[in-house]
Amino acid sequence: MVLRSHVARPTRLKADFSIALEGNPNTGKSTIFNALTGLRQHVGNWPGKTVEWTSGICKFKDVTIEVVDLPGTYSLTACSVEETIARDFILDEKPDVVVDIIDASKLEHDLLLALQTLELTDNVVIALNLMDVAEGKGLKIDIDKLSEMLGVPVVPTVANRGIGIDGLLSAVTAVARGERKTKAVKVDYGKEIEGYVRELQRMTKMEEYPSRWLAIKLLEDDSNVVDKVKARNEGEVLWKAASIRASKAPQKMEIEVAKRVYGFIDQIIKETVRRTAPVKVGLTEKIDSIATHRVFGLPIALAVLALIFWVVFTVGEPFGAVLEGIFDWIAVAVKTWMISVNVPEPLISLVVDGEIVGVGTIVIFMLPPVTLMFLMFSILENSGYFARLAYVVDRIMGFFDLQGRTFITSLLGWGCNIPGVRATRIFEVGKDKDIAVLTNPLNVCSGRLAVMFALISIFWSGGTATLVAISLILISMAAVGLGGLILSRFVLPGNTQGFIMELPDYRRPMIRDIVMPTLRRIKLAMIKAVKIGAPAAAVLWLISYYPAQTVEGSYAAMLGHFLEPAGSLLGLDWRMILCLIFAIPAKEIVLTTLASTYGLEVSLGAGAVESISFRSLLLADWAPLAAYTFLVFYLLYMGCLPTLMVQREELGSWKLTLFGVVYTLILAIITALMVRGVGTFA
Amino acid sequence: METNRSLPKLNKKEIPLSSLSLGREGIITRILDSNTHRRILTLGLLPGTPIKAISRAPLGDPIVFHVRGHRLALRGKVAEMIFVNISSEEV
Repeated sequence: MVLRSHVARPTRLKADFSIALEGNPNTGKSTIFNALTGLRQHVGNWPGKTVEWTSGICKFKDVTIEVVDLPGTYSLTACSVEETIARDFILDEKPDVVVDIIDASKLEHDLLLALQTLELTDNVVIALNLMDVAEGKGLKIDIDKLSEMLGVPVVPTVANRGIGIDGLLSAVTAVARGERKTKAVKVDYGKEIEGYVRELQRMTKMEEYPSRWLAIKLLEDDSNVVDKVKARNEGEVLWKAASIRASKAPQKMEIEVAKRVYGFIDQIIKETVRRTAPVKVGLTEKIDSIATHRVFGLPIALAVLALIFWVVFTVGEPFGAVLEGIFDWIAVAVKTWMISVNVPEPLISLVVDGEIVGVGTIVIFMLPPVTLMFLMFSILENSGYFARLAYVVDRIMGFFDLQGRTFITSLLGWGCNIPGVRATRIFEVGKDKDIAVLTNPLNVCSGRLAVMFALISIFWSGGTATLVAISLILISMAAVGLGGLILSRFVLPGNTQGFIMELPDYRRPMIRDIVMPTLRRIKLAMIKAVKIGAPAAAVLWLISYYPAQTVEGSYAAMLGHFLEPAGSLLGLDWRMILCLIFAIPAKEIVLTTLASTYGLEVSLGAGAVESISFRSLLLADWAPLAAYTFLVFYLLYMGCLPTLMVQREELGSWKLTLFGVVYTLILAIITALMVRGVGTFA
Repeated sequence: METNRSLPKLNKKEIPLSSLSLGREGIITRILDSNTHRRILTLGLLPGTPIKAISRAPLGDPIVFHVRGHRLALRGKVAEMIFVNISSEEV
């Protein structure tokens, strides 16, 4: 058994060989991934890069297989960050076998990705999934013929019923072990282009990439590939490719290449697919006629959103209470134990009031709503409605130079900004993505939403409280729109891309496919939040304990007093300013710090709000207008520190990241001033 | 060459895809240069490809098309860059 040996990579899993799964979104790729790996999943990291992937281990007979789940993409043309990730993984990590998952009912559509993959590597196995759906549509597919035409094994599967998984694994193992020889078909690009391809192939010395693929991409002027070649100083090849392109009419190469690819796809379909039943109006069309209806489409979208928030805050609450109980118990237990073994008082305070309360608050406020929110997002995503949501609201987003797809990343941001920012990888690197990244923190995440509701409940009640909440949410939405306009018109160069989006078939989501990505997103959010929140809690505790060992005499209070003149313009006193500064590492922590600045014994989470002394202190000390101004400022000014780190990763630029801080701060100040102005004179 | 407009035949008319009425089918003739033309080509929208307008979003934009067996939503601005031939009696 000869297998390519991998250079030691700490983040790769130990296995006999590795496979990568790719496929269009909604082809059942995650179903197959989950079926192969079960719960043994693990998020890995690209060495030296911030791109992570999900992988898992699959045991089949006597072999152990590492399975890597690539992002779901429609092609490998580097049109989005996810496509680049998928392509680079295949090129750089060289998995032993690439499994391309195709929706058998949409063979014509999905073959593009397959052909592009076959240009990258010979070691491909095609999983022809959703065979039952194809048969239901009256499609008969000649699998042997398809396999012959593509030059690689094709295995029919119905992954959601576990059918064909063993066959897929047998084929994969046979290819990995070299028992089954594959000879990936190459699209014939015609005499002229093939001539150029051969010429370029002869010139390049880059052995790590398939030379034919490289030549074609250079002729297409794929900027990502051009950069790769530039980095290797192969100026001659680049010059040659550029001069060939220059001698042709614009678009000629791309059109010719695309024509040949689609011509071949048409030929494959003609020779392998037989229709045994007439085309029927599908279920998807029927659902769409209501879900994207001209009159009902928007109200339905609104109703879906309302339902999400209703579930998040009614179902989530009891879980928050349980978590609060747990952390309370831990705090008391640790404190009692530390006193009993004579730990010095400052250390007890640091551990209990700083760490346990700090981290506890983050977990209590974040975990229940974020979990529920992501759970529902996953359902929408897997069912296919997410794409419709983007489609229905695209026009509105367009007013603000935003994209329908920005609505999706914003919506994730309502759960938590961290995965919201991460999700901007559905965009191509460039203006639209940068706008989506930089406006995301203006979406009120569930942590801030919980704080907002808690504070509102102190100052207002009944209908007024609801109005206040709605007005604050509208302000944040307006800020997103305004942010989009400012960034697009005055800050970021270039043009935004138009909306181009595929609307997949509706599917009934599988439970496992909903749960796994939810867990992944929560893990990302919680780890980032606690990693930065825990040390930050310690620092905050230190500066609010020393030198005087009371809050009033602490460094923190000095800082607050120092900034008070500026804050007074906005109607903020030193305690409020302090809270806003303390909320930077984790915005949900604000209630706890508020309690501590009043010298109250800090308690956890919503407990702070329920304590009568806290309520009466705040009511006596804050005018409702001051509370409202505070909330406006709190909701708008920058994202939390973990979000900032993820923004930096996605933007690849500190300058833009810091700009994001500055402009949200300015937005917050101006809005707060306006609120104060209107509130004072109204 | 498709990128240069050939003289329209008598019974054909070339219109931007954004003006194709719902339910009608046209044949793509050319795609104007823009920052999205590469993505459009990748999706298989090529000169000679049939494309059918299906529906419009509640606010009139974007528009859903059926092309090559998939459902594609394009903003009007993108569809303006794509030209199609239709039989003139359909106008």
